[in-house]
Amino acid sequence: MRRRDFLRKGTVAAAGIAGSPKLLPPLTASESGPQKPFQISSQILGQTGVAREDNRSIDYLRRAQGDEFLPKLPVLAESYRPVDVQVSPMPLAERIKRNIVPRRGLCSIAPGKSIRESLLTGNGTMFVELMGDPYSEQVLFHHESLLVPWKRPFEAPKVAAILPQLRQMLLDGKYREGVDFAFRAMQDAGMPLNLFSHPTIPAFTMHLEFPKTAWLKDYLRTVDFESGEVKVVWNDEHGDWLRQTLASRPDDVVVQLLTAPRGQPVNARISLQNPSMMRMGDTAPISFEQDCSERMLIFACRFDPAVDNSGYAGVTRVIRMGGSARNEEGTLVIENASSVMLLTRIEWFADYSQDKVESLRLAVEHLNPDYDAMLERHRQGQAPVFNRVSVDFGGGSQHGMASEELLTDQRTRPDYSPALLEKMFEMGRYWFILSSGKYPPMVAEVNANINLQISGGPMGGLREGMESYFDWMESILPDCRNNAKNIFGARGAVFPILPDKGIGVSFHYASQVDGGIWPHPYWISAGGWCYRPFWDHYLVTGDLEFLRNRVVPGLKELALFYEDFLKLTDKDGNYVFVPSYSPENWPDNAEPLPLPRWPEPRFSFAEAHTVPPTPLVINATMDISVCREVLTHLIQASEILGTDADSVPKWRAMLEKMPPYLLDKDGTLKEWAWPTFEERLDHRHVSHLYGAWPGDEIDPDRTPQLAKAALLADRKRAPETLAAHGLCHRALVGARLKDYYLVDYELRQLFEQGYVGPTLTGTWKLGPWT
Amino acid sequence: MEARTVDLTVTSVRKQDITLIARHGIEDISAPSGVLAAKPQSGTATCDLHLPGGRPVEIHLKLGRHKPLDWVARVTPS
Repeated sequence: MRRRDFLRKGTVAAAGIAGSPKLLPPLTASESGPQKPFQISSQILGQTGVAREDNRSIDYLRRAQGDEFLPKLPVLAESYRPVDVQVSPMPLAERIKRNIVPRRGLCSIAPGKSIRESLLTGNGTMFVELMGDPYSEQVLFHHESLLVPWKRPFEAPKVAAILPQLRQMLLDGKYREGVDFAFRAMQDAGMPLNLFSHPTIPAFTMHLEFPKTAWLKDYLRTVDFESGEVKVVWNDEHGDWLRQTLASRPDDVVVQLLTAPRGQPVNARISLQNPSMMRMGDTAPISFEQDCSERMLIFACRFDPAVDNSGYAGVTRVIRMGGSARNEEGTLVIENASSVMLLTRIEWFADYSQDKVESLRLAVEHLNPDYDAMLERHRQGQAPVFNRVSVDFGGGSQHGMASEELLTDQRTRPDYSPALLEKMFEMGRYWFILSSGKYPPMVAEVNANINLQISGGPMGGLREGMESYFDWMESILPDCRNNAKNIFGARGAVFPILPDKGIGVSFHYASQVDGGIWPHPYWISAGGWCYRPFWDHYLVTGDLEFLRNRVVPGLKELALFYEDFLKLTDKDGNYVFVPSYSPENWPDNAEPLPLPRWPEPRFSFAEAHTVPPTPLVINATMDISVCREVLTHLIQASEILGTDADSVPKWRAMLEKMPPYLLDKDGTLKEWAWPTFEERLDHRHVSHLYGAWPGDEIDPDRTPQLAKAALLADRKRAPETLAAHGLCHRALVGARLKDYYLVDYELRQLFEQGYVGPTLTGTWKLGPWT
Repeated sequence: MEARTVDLTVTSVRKQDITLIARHGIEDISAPSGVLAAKPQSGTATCDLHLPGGRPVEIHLKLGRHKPLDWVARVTPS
């Protein structure tokens, strides 16, 4: 049997797993008597290209399954669970018959149980997460600018004066003393330990309550990636219900349309509630105000006036067809309408005032509430961007299967579910588009790891979102220049570990019981990593003006820093990178005699780390790789553009003095190019493999020895936590090195071990922090 | 992948010569006139292409059965 044929048949069988309350088809088949055995993929049986049928004979199966001591057939636990509404999903055949699943999109057969299982739509500025619950819906509204504000002026701690002494300590092997010395200096300079990034907050939660019925059937929720439209459909004793949500970019509005079955009324209770405060605590006073009328819900927020005068407002206009509406203590109660449309716009104000809230209200009032027209206008903008790049793994034969079914399909087959791979690819593009506005995709704490999230942007043809990224990076350059000056006494720019919206200050250094000691102000490689996508954009587009005006100026800032930072050389005349930090890892033997408690009691016990790592050391491989890349790209750009001829010899001379990478005894690329340091392999990051990914100086053709060393280093990693970004990073390195084994190993964990939920969104980590 | 055929459409923003690499090996390749620098020997991993500027080029590949990781075995022990 050809594999496509198998998939077609397997699709129908597998879809039944979650589409109806039955058990896995193979199990059902084998336990319900001597039916024709379930067929298995050719992938199980080797590369013959011909799938063979189950080779167990009917007689044997009858004998084996006729054992009188076999347990009863298992039943779904769900039937024992007390629920107030029994939800039955729409069967696959019905989905196909109604042609209800978008060709480019996803469907899910159950409402979300947590925010991780919500459906997403957005227009870059705003995005919403909704559960798809028929009777008790929660919609979390976001605006990209809603960040608890920082009080300015605010800049990196002025500790440059200690750099010579710190360097000597590290060169003398006094790593712990060095970190302690640096941290005390930062505190003395007024930058507190463990200062964390300010959180991005949701705008508000919209609750929609509807009269419940005892059962509902044919439930399905869908997302159309080309239009961003989210639909929730179901059938109950009143008929077929439809709820649509769209975040329009041209009209800058979130539109929700609630449609009742023909001849039936919409009865709803709608309210807006405060967002979760999470980490903000007492440090960020926020005040909220609400107003509710039968035509409008208004939610306004002021941030701490002691910091600045910023705030935001959200206005929801209610367009009701028929029926009545009234305000019941802040809840809008709608009765007997034939349909209800909600138009919501959120705006952030740097200088909040009631006049601005009123202007927002008037702007929403003037929107033309034509759902189909707004949907079409948005589709015309989004679909061409989404469709610039597509993949086809043969998943068309699985069309209609829900995400839950595709994940089950993936977990019960030895190869890959083609539709799941396609959907994951598409979901990545969809998420990138819906969350690209003034800022690139970022939610909550922003980390230089955003490079992982946007790394596919240039090659994926997502130039609008990448433009946001480039603008953002350039906007924080003034802070980055201060980082170089204040921390290193250097010219040029040093980017922070936690760039934020409008903030490039390097502030984060930490010592936590459950974390470690993170001397992030001394991580000098963030800038090169952040500028790598600029170079990628040039490579993809060949845009010489972009290279001239946006790539080279940034790289020059970084090179200027290296020029001042690299002042020490070893006996061979090679630069010594000191201090140097390979993110969040440390040499196994950097501090052979840990103090019983550290830092000294000057810090509170809660901040003390009893067995501290000492990550602030010498010659992190990543620092060397990134510096090499920055200088190499500058030289290449100068030659392409015919500019900066007088600087090229200087940059070439610096490249000549780069220390060589070191290999361990078995040929593994070492994380520190310093001979006395031993590897610590149980760590999630592979910073020392930067040269393979996202860099490109290591590859099997040009540098086969280094490529083999990097491949060994990638395979030997045994991560200490179950961080998804670690899996992705190692897979990307594996792909560059053509290590299909490791790519497969990491991808399977991502798809099969719970990182991916029923709406194909991911979690950053498995475990108690998930 | 069992069919081992790949249909590829490449649009280069500028006219340029590139090397297409397929580590499974290229058993056969076809492209519009003037794109292939030379027909590669069956099974080799690389093929030089002349890409025009701003015009989509359709390439049809039949892949070989080499293992992509074979290069590791050929690296000189360090």
